[in-house]
Amino acid sequence: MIPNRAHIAPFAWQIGVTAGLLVLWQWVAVMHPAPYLPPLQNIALGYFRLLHGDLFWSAIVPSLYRLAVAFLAAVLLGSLAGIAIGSLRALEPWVRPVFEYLRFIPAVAILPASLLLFGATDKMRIFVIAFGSIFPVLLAAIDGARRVEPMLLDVARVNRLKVPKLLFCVVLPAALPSIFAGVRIALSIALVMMVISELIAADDGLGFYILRNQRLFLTANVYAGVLVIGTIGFGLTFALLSLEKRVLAWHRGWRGLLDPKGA
Amino acid sequence: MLNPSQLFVRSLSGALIFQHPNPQRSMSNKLTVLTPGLVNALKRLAGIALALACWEAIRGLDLVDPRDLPSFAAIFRSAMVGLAGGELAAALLATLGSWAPGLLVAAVAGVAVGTALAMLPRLELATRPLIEFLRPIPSVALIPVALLVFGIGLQMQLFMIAFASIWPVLFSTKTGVEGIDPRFLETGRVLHLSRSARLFRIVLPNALPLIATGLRTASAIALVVAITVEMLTGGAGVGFYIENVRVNGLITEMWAAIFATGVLGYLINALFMTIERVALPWSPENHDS
Repeated sequence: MIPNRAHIAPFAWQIGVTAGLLVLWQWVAVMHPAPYLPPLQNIALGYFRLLHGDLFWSAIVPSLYRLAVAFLAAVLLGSLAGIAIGSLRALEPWVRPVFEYLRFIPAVAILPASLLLFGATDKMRIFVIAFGSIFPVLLAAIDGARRVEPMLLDVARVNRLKVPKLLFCVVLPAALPSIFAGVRIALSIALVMMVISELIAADDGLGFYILRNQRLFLTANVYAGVLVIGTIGFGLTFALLSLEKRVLAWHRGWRGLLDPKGA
Repeated sequence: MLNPSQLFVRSLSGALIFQHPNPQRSMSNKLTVLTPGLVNALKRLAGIALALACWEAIRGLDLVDPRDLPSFAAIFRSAMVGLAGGELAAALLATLGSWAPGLLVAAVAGVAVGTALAMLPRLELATRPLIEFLRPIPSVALIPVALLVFGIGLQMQLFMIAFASIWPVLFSTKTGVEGIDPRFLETGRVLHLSRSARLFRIVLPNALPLIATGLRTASAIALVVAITVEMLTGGAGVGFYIENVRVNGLITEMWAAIFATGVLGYLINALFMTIERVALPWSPENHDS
């Protein structure tokens, strides 16, 4: 197909607006130098300096390590506990009010308490990130496990499936679409909590890096740090969506029969 | 004959939901005083009591320094004192005082931009790279940038709250406006409604349920950002209060403030849910349960 005007126009608009904004930024930065508008080349330099060498190990790696441990713990614990609670219907009224309350405590508010209990350690930051991100997974898993089709459970019972097998082969797959929706929310909360925990109490990591550079008025580095955090967020969201697409290939939400409530 | 492990599994699966509900058994319950609703409420209370017992057990077992975990009664007493005209009440009110205007700005701007993006495809196309670029950046990462631009103060706090909470409103508005049944719009056109009448009487009411959901998400985000900014910059509010009492070693007050913040978050969510239920009876959210 020969690209004609109608095909090119959208991209031309996008490139035009993006380039226009960049040129405007650069023009203002050069003509009216202000501390909060560093020239683009300095930001780019700061960005690449973060990705190579010492800064990579003192800023990006600690952040990613804490994020990974806390997020994986939250997803595992949240979905296991959620499936257990969702399947044991008798258990639910006992725990629901407590969870419904705990999830509304802003995770930032927990941070000082966690600082008190664990000190300014990685354990404390991991705890805060996990506390913030476990509740969306947990509640999604409870809902998912409760909404298993009764027919599937009947079939499983007729076939005398053992409880562990039933939970893993019937309830878990049925709850997965709901769990993934919770995990997506949890990922964005985990990123926010990673940054907050490093802004408030840390001596390494990306949050610490941007706050220190802000105090030193090295503005280009602040923007570079924000860009790296954005890149991480983008990469992780993309990875999660690819995984979801793969794992939930059987789910109708992914096959054209788009049902906005079911997806 | 079943072996013991099979029996165990049987009894376990008996507790699982896959049992068919047996109406006859529940009907034959002679104790009519214990209605199912009352039993449920009792279980909820027992669950809360159990959670409090866990708290006391953690203290009693010396898992952590007991000075760091005061007894729940002491925390509750401190919260009551703080809320009855004490510093805690003032701090919570100060937080709400920056939370509300920030959220209001986000709501107005989010609905306006979301509607514009949904109704003007060219605009949406042209700004898509910009929005897709800004979206994955966790808004709290911009606090240092906002500090550079605005310095410490209410202006910076309001900007951060509004910037962070605009996204859920914007995207849910966009989805809501885009999802409108084209027949409604055609009807409006046939009736020669003006552009603004179509916008305010057809498009927006149709998108309202989704906008309300986005707003509820935004209200929680706004609270988190308000508290974070207070903690970082020392502005008046519960975030600064919590950090301040911790530094001064007032541990009971710190826990009281944390749990009070949780109650505040819970109440804000409940308020938005109630508004949705009362004001938007046609919302699909209200037909779920």
